[in-house]
Amino acid sequence: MTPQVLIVDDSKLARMGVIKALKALHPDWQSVEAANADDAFALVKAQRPDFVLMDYNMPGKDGITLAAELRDFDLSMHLAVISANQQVEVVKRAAAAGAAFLPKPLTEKALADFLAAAAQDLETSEK
Amino acid sequence: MNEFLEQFIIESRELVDQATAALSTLEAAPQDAAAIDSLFRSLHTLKGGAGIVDFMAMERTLHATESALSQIRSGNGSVLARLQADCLACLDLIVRWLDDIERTGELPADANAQATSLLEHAPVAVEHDGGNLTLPPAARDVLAAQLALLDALTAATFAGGVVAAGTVAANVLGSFGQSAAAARIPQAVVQSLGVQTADALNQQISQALDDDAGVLVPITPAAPSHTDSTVRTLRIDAERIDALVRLVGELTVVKNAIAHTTSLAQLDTSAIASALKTQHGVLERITGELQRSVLGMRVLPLRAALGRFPPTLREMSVALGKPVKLLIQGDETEADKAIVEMLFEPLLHVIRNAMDHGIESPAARALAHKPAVATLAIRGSRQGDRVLIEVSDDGGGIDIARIREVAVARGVMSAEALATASDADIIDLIFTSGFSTAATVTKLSGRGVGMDAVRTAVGRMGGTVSIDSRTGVGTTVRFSLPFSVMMTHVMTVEAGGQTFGIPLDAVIETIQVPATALTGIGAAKAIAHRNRTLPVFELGNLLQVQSTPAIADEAVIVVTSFAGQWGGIRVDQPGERMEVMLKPMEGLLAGIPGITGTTILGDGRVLLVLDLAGIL
Repeated sequence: MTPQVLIVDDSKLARMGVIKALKALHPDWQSVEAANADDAFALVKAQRPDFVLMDYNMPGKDGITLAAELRDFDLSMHLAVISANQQVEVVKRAAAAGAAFLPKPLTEKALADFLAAAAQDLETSEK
Repeated sequence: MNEFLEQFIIESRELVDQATAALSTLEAAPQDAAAIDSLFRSLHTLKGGAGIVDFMAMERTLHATESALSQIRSGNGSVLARLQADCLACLDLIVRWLDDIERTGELPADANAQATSLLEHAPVAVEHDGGNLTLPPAARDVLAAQLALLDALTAATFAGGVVAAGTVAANVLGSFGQSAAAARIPQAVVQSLGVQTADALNQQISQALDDDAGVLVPITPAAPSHTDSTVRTLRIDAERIDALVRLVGELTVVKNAIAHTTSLAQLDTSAIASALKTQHGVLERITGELQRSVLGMRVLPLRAALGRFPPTLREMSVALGKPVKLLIQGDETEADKAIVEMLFEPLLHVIRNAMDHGIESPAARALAHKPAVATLAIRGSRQGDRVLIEVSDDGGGIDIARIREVAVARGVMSAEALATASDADIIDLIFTSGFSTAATVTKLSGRGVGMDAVRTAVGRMGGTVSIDSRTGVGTTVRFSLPFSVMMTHVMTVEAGGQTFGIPLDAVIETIQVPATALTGIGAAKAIAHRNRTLPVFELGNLLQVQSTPAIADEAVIVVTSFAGQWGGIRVDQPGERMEVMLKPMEGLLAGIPGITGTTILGDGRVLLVLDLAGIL
């Protein structure tokens, strides 16, 4: 099954940026998009993506809150919070919610590192 | 145009509209949390979008604007008013850029220069060290690249490489508000060049990256203590500084405009005069405001020191079981900030003493047929060149006999000296170091470290403190302080062809009456005015200059009142009212009676401000 990535961000431009990076690394992977936390949750329930990349700063529910809820929902998903705000505080909170932290704007390298780490998790858990 | 730029333009326009709407809401309601949130979110997302399309100039501008606006989060409305214009200017520039991109399909070429120009005119410094805004990843990458460059230096490329890396690092840090970090770079460059290793520079850049990554050490400046013996720092409302900075900026603009105008002098003189006049008018207004701002920074009403006493006194009253009411008069009297701030501790101590020792217990007061609720009064006033503060209570007065006892017991004064000492001298012993007649050291006082410290503190400010006491009736502690830098309202008048100032707080009104209304009483003159007889003095006579009335047969009289006495001063002509900074007379001139101080008028003339007590 080709891996599926859910991208959550209220800015379409930002989503385009993430998809561009994803396509550069894994052209065959599938991507779905959501503009807010509620839509994202609905999509997760419907499609069960493998990866969820969510923006921290969204109107309504923020990315870290969403990450915590997704973590409760399904432990096997790999979560990452994307944010321009790189303070230690934010990174810690993301980790507490069970998500990795990726700085914004997302670079291919950062995404690659995240996906590689997630893949390793996958391998170790399957052993 | 690529799809990214297209989407970027669409979203950015929407976000600019959102930000503008939020600013508009905040103008009417600065505390509106939703609007504040919306504004910051819009700016933040705009910045993010700029990052995605690699539009560094826009990232820079938004970063600086976010920094400047961070003060708004506290709901400070007056801050917003000033920043709103700059924020709108920033959004305006962004819209122009978006139009450019739409037209050309590419990022505008001169955007960076335009950004720099905009940021230079921002009144609030872009520096926001330690704030919650961090370097964008692009900036971090650039700094990291400099570090890589430094690592790869060879002997041949060393000097050039260090300088280049330092320049880039300083620019990047400066552009994104990390001014302190940027300021440390040049030094590091010099150091590195000196010792021929890049370590110093390497360290500074690495540290800047580390600090940015969140190893934040909040620095809270220690509040200057009230007992600070040398009051070298002033606590000033940040807004007043901001106003000052803005005015200086405006001043620079006018100065430049005038320079430009004068340079036209070689070409055409006719248009010059009017252009110069206009600019000068602007210059006058700005410097007037600037002077007011600067002076306003250093002057406080006494209220600033007295304001905290009502609740403090209530606590003491409850703790001691002595009901007391506090009367405050003249707390609008102004004095130099240093003086007002210094006064707090001494006044507090005096109040404590009054509560502890002066005011009797309710039982004792009842025995003495005094009202059950004691009265503590604090009166402030300005008299001539001094600020006077009196703290008086209706307690039992100072126990002079007891002081004599303690003085003998402690060997403060010899028995012979004591015998010839007057009551006033005895009372003055209270100011001796370590002197305390309290039988018990209470929580509030009695430790004997008080009144001498009070006298020292006051003396340091060039003031004096004295005590007046009447046994059984009460005690009054009097502070007399110089006003040194104090704003005074004066009214100018002319007499004998010269201009003088009269302190406005002594002036009741100015009247003009027929010269015949003045009647002679012996050698003096008087006039009937509002059911009283006012003695009238010719200012010319008082100052021994020749009077020349402006209007013949009419007398212009300034009706004054001071120290409870009404009088009239006949002048040649009344002038205008103005607020001035009075400088006390110094040196040889200090002893001249009748002059409170001097100030400089707009046309450069020195105005002598009269001390009515001295001349009448």
